[in-house]
Amino acid sequence: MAKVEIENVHKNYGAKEDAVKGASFTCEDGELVVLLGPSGCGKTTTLRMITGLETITSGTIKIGGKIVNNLTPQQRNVAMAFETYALYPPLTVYDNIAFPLHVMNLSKADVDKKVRKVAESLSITEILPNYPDSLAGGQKQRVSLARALVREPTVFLMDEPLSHVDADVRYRARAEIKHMQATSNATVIYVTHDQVEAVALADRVIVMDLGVIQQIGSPVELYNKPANLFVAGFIGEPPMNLIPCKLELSEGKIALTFKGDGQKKFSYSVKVLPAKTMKALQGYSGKDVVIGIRPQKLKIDAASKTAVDGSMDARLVVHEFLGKNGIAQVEVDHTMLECVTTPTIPFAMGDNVRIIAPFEDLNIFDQVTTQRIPY
Amino acid sequence: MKEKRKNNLLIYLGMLVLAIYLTMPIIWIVMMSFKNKFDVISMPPKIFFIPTLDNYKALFGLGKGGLVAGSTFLSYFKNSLILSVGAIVLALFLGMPAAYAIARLRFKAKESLAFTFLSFRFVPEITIILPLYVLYQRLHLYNTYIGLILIYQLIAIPLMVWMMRSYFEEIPIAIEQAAHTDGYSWAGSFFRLVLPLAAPGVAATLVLCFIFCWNNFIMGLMLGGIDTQPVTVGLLSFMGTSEIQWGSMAAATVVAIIPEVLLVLAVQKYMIRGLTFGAVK
Repeated sequence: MAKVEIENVHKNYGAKEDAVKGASFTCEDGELVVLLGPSGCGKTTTLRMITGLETITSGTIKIGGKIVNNLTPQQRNVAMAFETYALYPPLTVYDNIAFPLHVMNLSKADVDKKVRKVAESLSITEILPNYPDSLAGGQKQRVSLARALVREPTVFLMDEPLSHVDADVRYRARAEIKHMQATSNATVIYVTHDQVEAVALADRVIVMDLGVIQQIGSPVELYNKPANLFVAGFIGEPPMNLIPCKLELSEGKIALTFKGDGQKKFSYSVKVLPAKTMKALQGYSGKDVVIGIRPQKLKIDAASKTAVDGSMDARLVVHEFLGKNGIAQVEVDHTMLECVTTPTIPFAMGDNVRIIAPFEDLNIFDQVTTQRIPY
Repeated sequence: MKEKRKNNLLIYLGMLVLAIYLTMPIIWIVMMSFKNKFDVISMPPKIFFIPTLDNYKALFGLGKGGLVAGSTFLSYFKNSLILSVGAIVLALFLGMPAAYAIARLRFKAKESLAFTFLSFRFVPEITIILPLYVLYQRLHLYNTYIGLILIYQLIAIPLMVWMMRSYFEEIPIAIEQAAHTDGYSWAGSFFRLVLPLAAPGVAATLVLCFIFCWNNFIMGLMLGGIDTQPVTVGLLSFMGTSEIQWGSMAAATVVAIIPEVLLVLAVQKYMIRGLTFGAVK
């Protein structure tokens, strides 16, 4: 397998705006990188440029240190698993898997050996004589993986391979892909719009929107320190609470005031905060910011408890029981916030409660640039 | 339940009437071809008569024969076969790559080009036939198989391009892209994957092109001579100055439609899709 380097790659389809605007990233040998973003963000285009199915408007793509810009897909020796599987309907499963081997001028015995080996590893031996039309989604998926794997390619590219698999087998298929990648130590670039899938699979995730890479990082980094409002809103289930606020630094306190009547605020005493944080936030005093807090981090408590740093009065609007936990919707100053709770809570709908947002769990974003303020 | 059965009955009755209405000309011609020369012109027409094979015998030069020698009809028939088969083979080699390109590639003025192909069919043949006649005389294409096969492309190419385009477009492009990443060339993926998938479409298109070429009359009449004219023109020769041989003409017509009927029966299943391609798109 090989390392893939993408440097300042642009793609223009003839419209005024580029579909991909200067993408740069590296996928190390044996790494599983996920390109994540909503539809139309340029992730599939980026993948297809790496495959060689799309030309590159400008920039360079290197596979294994070699520039491949002008090479055809077959010269790049990459394998691609397609969203629609793209199995060849007139051929049996066996011939589908053997298809890429025929161009390699291997002997019949070698082809047979390779096909059977890969079929066994994906446990599809018993469906080898079948035709693709007779297979279930999960089986088709495995056949398409087998066909890609059998060539021992330098890079493995996957374009939403699970989006057409039934929900009940998707979890298993995802685990199989991860297992296959780990055991064969393959370099994989995987495209998806499903953030749960991305976070579950990836060594590193590349989040794209509007043709621009928004953030590159491990799933943990993306979750805890999203680079901007887009990433913050895209990653995580339920989505992060994002609240426009006014930031004020005064007399050893930080106040984050809600936009409504100016009464509701999260306030924190400065004493406990490191100097670095204070310095970073200094310039934003008196300015509008957006604060983000994950529903999992926002705590809910009885209104009678004494106020602590970052606590605020709120009204419980709805609480849903979801088995292993619950979700509460609370209203503060006409803003609805979501809060993951224990399965049941000792409050009734309409009760006054207290919510607590610990400062270390807050992300503060510049409202104008939408970038996260680093502190 | 009863209501439903009654409705079905009505629908079947309607279909029967429609079927009789549509096939009546063919039934009539077949009946005519088995009548002797007195029955054929009797008034009112006879539904019941003693069938005779004389007309067919005359057609193939057996028996006593009529005014037209049997061998002439057979040579018309042969001309039709050469022209129609030649035309669809040429249309296949010219039209299929064009259809594939229009279905798959992105290039400037693609739709205009496709439209241009279709526009071949806009002008009634009768309006262009006279200039073509002059042109063909000068180019020495008049009364040649090649000349007629070329002009038949006006009929076959638009059909080939537009029908095959819709068949190609229905084949998922991912299949070809997968083949390309698997190391296959354009030609390799086209002949190993696309063509087998499009085969029913190719067959249906060829049959339809064949029928339109076979049935064409005006081109053969004006641009072909006695050596190259197709059977549609040949049927005219049964109209002599002194008499019209209705029976022989009917027999010739029946023989002339046999190739078409056989072909249509062979690919009937795909034909329906081919004929309605415009509606589906």
